[in-house]
Amino acid sequence: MRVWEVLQRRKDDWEVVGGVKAPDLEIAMHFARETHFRRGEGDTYAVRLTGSDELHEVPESSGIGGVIDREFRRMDSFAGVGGKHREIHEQMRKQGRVIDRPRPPDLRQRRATGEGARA
Amino acid sequence: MPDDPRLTLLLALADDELVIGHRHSEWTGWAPHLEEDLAFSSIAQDEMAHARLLYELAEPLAGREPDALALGREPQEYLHAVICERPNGDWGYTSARQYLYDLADDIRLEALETSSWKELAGVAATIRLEERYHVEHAELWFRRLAEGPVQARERLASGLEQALPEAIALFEALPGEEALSADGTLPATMEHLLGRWLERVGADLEAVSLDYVLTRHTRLGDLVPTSSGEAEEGPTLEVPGLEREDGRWVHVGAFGGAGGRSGRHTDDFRELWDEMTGLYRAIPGATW
Repeated sequence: MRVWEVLQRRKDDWEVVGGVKAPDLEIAMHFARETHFRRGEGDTYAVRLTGSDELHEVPESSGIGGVIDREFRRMDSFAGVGGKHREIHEQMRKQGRVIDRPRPPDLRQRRATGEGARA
Repeated sequence: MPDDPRLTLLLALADDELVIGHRHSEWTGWAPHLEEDLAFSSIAQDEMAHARLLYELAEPLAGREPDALALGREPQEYLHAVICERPNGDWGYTSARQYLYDLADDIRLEALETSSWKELAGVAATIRLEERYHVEHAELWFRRLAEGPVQARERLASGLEQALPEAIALFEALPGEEALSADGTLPATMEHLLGRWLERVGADLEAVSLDYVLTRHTRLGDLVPTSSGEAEEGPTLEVPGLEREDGRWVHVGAFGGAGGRSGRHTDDFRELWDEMTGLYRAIPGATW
């Protein structure tokens, strides 16, 4: 799988903000948006195959992500989650309820039989 | 069932988004690769956020807060289509379902943007801005798997065959739909929207030579969900057959739906509901 750099426009220049693995340009552009520009981080981006100088800019630069406000998409909304989780876990334990199925059972079975989702 | 058909409409839309969003979220950490994991998790978040917008709109009609609507109802009070509650299966089924569902969602939102109920029209327009990504995502995978290695194509085709009858039932008529059509709240009937959807799906499938899935489609028989015994017996459940007519795919025959819009669900939902609402039921009034 090829590695692509993800770039964001900063004033008149481009800055590398991350990378994605993708077999070709179409999927690289798609993954770049999905992994870097779905929370209103910017209004334009580009990808570049590692080792290449050719920059591929997203053709359309309007409305990239983040149109609906949701505080859970912000890092700071997750402050103290561990503590909250432990508190809830304890409360539920007192009621005799435990989370015993951390993963969908059908997927777990598939993995056990070697027919995993990643196959 | 709600007395107000507008509430029925909102709950049907919101419950679809909430329940399929919950299923999508089960891929977090398990999708075929990291980038796709993030993409699918974003879609799951979007669907739940869209559900929240719709529950907020429903709040004054229902007299209940959005959280209570999302998590504080009994299983038979949920009005989502059965396809939303089905387990994820493999990536082929998940991709097929996401494609069929998000295309359907896009088509009904497009119609609702012209609703005479201005607030709903506004919410539909907002949601559609993000649904655009879902359709792009679904179509990307649809094409890739269809053109991909034999195994990918077979898994997609098998997912489409499995999902199709229940996807058609996304357009099951809503109880009280006549009133919604009459005052322009629902600018097109669900059956009319089914026609639009089918035309688009048919064209896409023909483009990748997978239209045999439509030819092989049989009316819902054994696939009809078994009622959990809590819902009342609804009308005869039947999904129409499909035919190619004048160069496009159309539905023929009776269209009773699969019962999801009247609260009839499968045991798959019972399990999902138990997990999804577990915390809310265990600690009433819990805030995050």
